[in-house]
Amino acid sequence: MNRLEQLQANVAACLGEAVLDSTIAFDELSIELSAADIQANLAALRDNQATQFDQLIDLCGVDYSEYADHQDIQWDKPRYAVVYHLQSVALNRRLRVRAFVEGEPPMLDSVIDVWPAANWYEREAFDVMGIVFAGHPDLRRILTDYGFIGHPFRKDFPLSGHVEMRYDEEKGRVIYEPVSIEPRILVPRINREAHGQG
Amino acid sequence: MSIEGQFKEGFATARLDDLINWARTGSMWPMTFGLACCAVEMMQAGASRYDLDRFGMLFRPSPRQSDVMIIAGTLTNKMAPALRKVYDQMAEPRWVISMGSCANGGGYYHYSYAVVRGADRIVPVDVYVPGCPPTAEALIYAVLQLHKKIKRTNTIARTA
Repeated sequence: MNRLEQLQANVAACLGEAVLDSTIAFDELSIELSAADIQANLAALRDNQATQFDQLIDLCGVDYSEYADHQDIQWDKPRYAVVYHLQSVALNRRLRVRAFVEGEPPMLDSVIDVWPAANWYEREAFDVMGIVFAGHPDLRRILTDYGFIGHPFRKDFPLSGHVEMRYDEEKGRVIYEPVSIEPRILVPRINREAHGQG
Repeated sequence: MSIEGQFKEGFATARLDDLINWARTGSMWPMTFGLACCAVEMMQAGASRYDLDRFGMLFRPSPRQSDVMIIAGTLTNKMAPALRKVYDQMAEPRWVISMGSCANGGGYYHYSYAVVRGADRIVPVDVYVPGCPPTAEALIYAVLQLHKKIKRTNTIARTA
């Protein structure tokens, strides 16, 4: 049993039935938890002596709405997921936790009481993905423009948005106008086959 | 009546607007407005190798003390009102150098929901510097072009 499998066993022992899925790939361990009791489970991972995930490295939202479109897989999970990257400084271990979130807006509990570092990460995920973190003390937008409407990282958000800006001489201030440029569909061209790399 | 012998030390004459334009081009203090990676090239232009000080250019932290604003980087929607406010606070006469593709017309982020497609949508621009990012030499060339533009000005009238 290598150290990653040992960690997998320790996580399983810590959370038991709460672990919906546990995968080792690319020398990394990823588990799936349910969004309903995410806060208690992550707190358990932090406090358990065999895991000690005392640091939140990253927290982000994922939009899976077009995930299955271009590949040959069955996908019936909810549209949104929140991904937590944890680190244990004491044990030198890392863990990825994914929780699928249902509803519109998708909502789950904030983990700000577990790791204060979650504060701005959750604001960012709310801003760009529209995921609501219940119990967050200050869930404002953090990156987009003041008064921005919509969540730009959602797959159904148009690339060029809805408004553009210019300075209005008469009003003496910067104003918003509907976007005037043509929308463009950007599909990366793949040249790989031409070189025989498959 | 002759003025010979009246001035012991000698004197030179000049047109007043030439004198004013000489003074203006000799000490164009730029407003420090670095928005993205172009700002690093702007710093290079200001540092010892290229040395904007040679042209009497000292970066100022206040728009009240600045003559020229170098928009160095991507102008986002969120920043645009602040940029306009800083421009409005600059005393006239004032000039604007748009540095890099992003400030010129959105550049790489032309189709973005968050980026202004050209700083000239927000403030009037005198000189556009192409490049992504432009080299420090390119920025200095733009400064020299702006010098030429100012020296062409023959009136002392207030310009909008």
